[in-house]
Amino acid sequence: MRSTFVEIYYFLLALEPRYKIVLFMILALLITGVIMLTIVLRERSRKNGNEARERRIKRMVESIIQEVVFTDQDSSELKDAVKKIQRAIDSPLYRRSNMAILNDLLLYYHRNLGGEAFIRIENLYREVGLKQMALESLRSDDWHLKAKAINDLSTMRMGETLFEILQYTDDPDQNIRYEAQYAAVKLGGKKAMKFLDDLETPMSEWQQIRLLDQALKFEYELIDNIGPWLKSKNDSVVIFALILMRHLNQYHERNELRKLLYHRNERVQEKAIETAIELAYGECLENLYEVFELTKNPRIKTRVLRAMGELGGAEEVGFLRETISSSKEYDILLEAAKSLKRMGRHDVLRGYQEKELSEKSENIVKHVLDDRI
Amino acid sequence: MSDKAKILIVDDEPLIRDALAFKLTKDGYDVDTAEDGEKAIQKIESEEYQIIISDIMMPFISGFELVKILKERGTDAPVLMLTSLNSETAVLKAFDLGADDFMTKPFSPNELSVRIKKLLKNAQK
Repeated sequence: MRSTFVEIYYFLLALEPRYKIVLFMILALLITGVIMLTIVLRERSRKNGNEARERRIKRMVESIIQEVVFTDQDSSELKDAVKKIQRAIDSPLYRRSNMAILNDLLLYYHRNLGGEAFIRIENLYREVGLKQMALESLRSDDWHLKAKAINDLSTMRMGETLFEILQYTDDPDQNIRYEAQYAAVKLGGKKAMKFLDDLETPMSEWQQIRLLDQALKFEYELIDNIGPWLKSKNDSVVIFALILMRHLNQYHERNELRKLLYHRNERVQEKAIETAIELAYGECLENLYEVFELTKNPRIKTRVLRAMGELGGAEEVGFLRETISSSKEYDILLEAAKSLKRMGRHDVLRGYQEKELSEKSENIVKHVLDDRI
Repeated sequence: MSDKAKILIVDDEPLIRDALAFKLTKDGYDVDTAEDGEKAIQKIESEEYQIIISDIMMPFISGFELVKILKERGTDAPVLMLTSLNSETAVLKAFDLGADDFMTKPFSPNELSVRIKKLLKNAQK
């Protein structure tokens, strides 16, 4: 046996270097393959084990949950059910993971069931300690645990946790603060929206839509004081307040709206002009002339022209007519012509003298006058 | 043969299927389940049901197709659609194809019980 190994050793030693390299690479690949296979098999067996545990837990607790959710139970029966569930998920090693399985199960039922069942699931959520677990996760350092905990607490309508959640509405982590803001509006309604007063971090458009959608579901029409939000240093809060102003027809904030027409942020300016149109705020027309002169942004100019078409009268017709004959920018020309058409002043658009307009302007006017467009 | 009304629940979500089966068994019905439209048709061919509760979005045969097939075959059992789709289009399509009632998820189990009673009463007339 020994002599065989010695022979192999001398055989390898005698090989040319290039064959030695090839052999070495084959050996390295084989070793890597064995290591990889071991890892894969171990991971698969761990995954299978977790899945089997999940199935077992679900099988054990499902019938207890159904009993609680679908039957009238007194407090002692509920306590018994809670004890049974806690026994089923109790494990020195996997308690937290078992709780997570139970959490997902209750969330699933909550998403699909309504009426009395809805309230029973929420009670069960509290009683089995999932609310407590979510509150503990809120103190974790992992952003995903915090965000998930906030989401769970708001889904399960744990109103008593609102104070804890409000502390995260301006969190440096975007995921955490977005979940917290949404949960605050869902759980606390109008009062909880006070967090917007001091919000320093920006809100994305998507987040604004989420908050608006949530606000629409409750006493949204009772939001009566958006003034501080219109004055906020946070531009995204100002934009959100303008959206609310439109939805709520808060005409009494019009003076603040007038100031926002001159806002340093062009997105706020744009939103303010849109709001003025929606609220039919014709008194701001004199400011719109100023904005048109002051701004260099063609997008703002076109918005102003549109507002003139929507809100203006005879005085604005002259300005729009003049803009068509003097401006050289396509978008501005087009918007001025469209505004005149919107005002029903086809006569003005048709009344230009020969050679009064450039060929480009003339084509735009013809284009706008075409009723097929 | 039992005098309990026999109900078939068709839903691809096992948790919903089991929960509904539990609730309706508690209500005193004889409950059977199927996880998709194909299996539901097989069961309906071999058994007689008084009510069929079906989801809409299911693999192989959707709830809409299932209602259509059942009505074409002249199945008398009323069909209650129970789905997460809550658009007007879905409701209209379901009734147009011959569904007898429509409920959206999240649903109240008590409301479901009442609707089933009503459907059974109407079917007996």
